Amino acid sequence: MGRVFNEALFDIKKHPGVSLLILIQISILIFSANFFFEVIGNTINQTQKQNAEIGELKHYALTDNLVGDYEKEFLKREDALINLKKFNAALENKDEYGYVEAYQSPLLIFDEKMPETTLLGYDDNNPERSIGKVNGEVACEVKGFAVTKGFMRLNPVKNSAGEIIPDSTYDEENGNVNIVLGHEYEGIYSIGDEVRAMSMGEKIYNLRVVDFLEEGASVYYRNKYLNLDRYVLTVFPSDKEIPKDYEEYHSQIVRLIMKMNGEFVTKENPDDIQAFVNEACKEAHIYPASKVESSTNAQIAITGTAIDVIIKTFEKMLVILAVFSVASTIIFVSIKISRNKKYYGVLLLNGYSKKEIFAIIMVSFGIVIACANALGLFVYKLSALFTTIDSVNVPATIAANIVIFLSAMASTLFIIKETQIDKFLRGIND
Amino acid sequence: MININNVVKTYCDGMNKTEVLKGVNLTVFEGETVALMGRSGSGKSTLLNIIGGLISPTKGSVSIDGEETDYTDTNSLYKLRREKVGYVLQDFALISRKTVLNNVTFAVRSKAYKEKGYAKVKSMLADVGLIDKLESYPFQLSNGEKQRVAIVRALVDNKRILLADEPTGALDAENAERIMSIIKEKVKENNMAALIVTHDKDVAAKCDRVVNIEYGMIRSGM
Repeated sequence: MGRVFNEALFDIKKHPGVSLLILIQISILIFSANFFFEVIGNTINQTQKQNAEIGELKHYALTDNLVGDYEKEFLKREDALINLKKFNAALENKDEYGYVEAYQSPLLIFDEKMPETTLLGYDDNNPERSIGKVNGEVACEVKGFAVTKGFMRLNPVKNSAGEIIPDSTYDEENGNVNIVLGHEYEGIYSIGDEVRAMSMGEKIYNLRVVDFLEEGASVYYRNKYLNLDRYVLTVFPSDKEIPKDYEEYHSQIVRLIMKMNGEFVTKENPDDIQAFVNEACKEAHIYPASKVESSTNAQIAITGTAIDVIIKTFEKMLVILAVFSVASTIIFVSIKISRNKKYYGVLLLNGYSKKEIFAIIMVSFGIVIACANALGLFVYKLSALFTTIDSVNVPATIAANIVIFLSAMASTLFIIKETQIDKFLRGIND
Repeated sequence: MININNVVKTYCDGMNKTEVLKGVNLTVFEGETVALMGRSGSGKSTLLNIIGGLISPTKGSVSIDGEETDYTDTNSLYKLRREKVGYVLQDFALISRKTVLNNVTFAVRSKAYKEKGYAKVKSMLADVGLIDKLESYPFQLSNGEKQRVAIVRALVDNKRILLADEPTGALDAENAERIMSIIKEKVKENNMAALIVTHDKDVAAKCDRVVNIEYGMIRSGM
């Protein structure tokens, strides 16, 4: 065994370039296997979790139904705002959750007493940049989260008393928009406090604090959980009132158009949803995207629950990864044996058996695989600095090693067995 | 002693059959150096490879020291090359990244040769004038020196048979003569049987006997 080990070490040193290439190839495979399984695993887990919470419900992302020249023509109509409101009302009244939409959108609060941790610039260690003046008045830029009632029905959150915040909390009262503040705001504001703020469309609103969220309250937003401790939670303005001036008219138009890209959460199938949207567009004199050649592929795309698609994609990528692993290992083993043919021939000539040659190759490969694992996992751990994943996937690592080692073993065995000794020798005598 | 009895070797390539050896009979005695001469394609190297267990005969048998070689048992063939047969080739067959000493010691199996830091191996290398070259690499040696290393490697572990395929083919006259002297001396000293394939008449002249092979059959010197 000592002789085999010594020759295995020599085998590695003999062609360091080939050994290094094999090491890099395997470390890439180890890294990929971990990264792939962790990312897919996390995605499947989160999707399954979300699906468990949602149950039979499906998510449908609405495509922009006002596109290109059709949008320009629509906005020239005198009844554009009325039709947009009609369309929006149809969406919001659909099913149990209605229209589900949420925006992370900063708010400008006209108040100096904002806690530093709530300022937008706090994340960049530059909270001062979030304090300025608007029309001579001090205003602070804070984290805002604007939602529809449907979104909050889907993501019920509790207040600091431990009770689920009801829908009615988000209703407007006497021109005031009710807001719920994240945990960081407790002690700074009290229930009933009023502040002024500017939001999308640059309209100034009177905000009234009606509740505080419990510490750690979070919602599922864009495939991850968003902690709301530092947020001001507002509901999209209903825009039911008649605009008083052109500025308000323009603000409502902008907001209503922005609200056209949300989601439906429903038990219905895609065809039914498509039919519903087309009917709502027709009622509102909106030319639906499904009839426009230049629009996106699908009027409605299914999001969030496509776990079958994720799993199928995962299976395809797994096959590609496995095929690449096997193919690249076989190629590198063949190159290695080919480069060392003469050396193996000399060993055979001097009494080494094919079994010993096989053992030398496999031990040298084993040493390289061990080093490659160390390198691959080290780089994987480094990558955790830039991603949200960091735990080593032990089954994936073991599986990758088994695939690589078995491929190497099978190809080595085949080549050694099929090559007659005199062919190794012809490598010597060439 | 090598005893070759009616050895036939036929190569098949689809429908084509080539009979390279057509019933070779030959005995090489202990302490004897026999030169095997013949034109290219006459079967010299094939015969050498059969004796060394690298390929198997189609018919016939080979005995080494009275023991018939079992060509169906790969383990016994490896054992043959490990314990009984030493090879010397025209291109020396040294491993380029091993030192002179390592080029010999990797082939050593017996304890006697491993003892005291391969003292016996070093002594053999000293015998052939390479004591100062133990840590040198093949690229640092002359062709004559390389062939001397190959000879020492072929002799370790008290091998019984020396098979040399054109051992002086890459050497000048002076080195060729030196190599042949070493071979003859060591063969006699160790009571080995040596079979040397050569085109060179001067080399053949230095051997105890010359055997001619033509069209796969021994013509003279059996």
